[in-house]
Amino acid sequence: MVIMSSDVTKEIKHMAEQLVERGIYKSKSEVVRDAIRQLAYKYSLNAVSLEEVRKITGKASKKSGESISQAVKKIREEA
Amino acid sequence: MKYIDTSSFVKYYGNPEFEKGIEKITELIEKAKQGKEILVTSIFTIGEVVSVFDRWIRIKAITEEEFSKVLTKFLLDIEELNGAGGLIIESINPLSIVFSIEHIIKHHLPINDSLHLYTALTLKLQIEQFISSDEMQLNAAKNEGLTTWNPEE
Repeated sequence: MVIMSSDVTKEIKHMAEQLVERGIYKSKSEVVRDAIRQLAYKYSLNAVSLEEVRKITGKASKKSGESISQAVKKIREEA
Repeated sequence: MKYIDTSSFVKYYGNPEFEKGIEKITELIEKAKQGKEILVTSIFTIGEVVSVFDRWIRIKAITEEEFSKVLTKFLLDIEELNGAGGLIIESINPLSIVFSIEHIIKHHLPINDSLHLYTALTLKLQIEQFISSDEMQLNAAKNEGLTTWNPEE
């Protein structure tokens, strides 16, 4: 972990504290981390191509010995 | 309008080295992204696809970072398909579960398969094809009067 400090308004600080008080997040840092993750998703910062996804799933199939549709079957059997 | 089960939808993310029928599903989904094909599925598909990626984390077949990448791609695709009008996502309600029980007993299907079949049957008159890669589910769909397609064949 690295430390990142930033200026926020009283309202933003209060909202972060409320999210922690209500037990939704464990700490204000976690509130900030999740907010940034959601922004990254919103602006597709973490987006990868279909080709890259297929490389990942190919590696997973090799390691697990199951194709992606076989994995669906296993999940259904586990349910 | 075509109903697509998770077993076929998920092939879009599969690797051709390990998965049959990827080209056919890729063509179908790309058409849906352009609004040239209308697919319909259950909201359950979202959970099942995420469960596959989660399973692979659980058995250490992918890393957390890879999980995040495939999940983001999947969710962005759902948004894109939905936005283009190429994917209709049907919701589940308590009655969906109750009426799915009939298909569990009648066709000996697991609950997930039954729920997909039930959802498709609620749209029977509009569904021109039931797409799945699960033989038991396909046979049940055929018996219920749906036209079926297995992209693996």
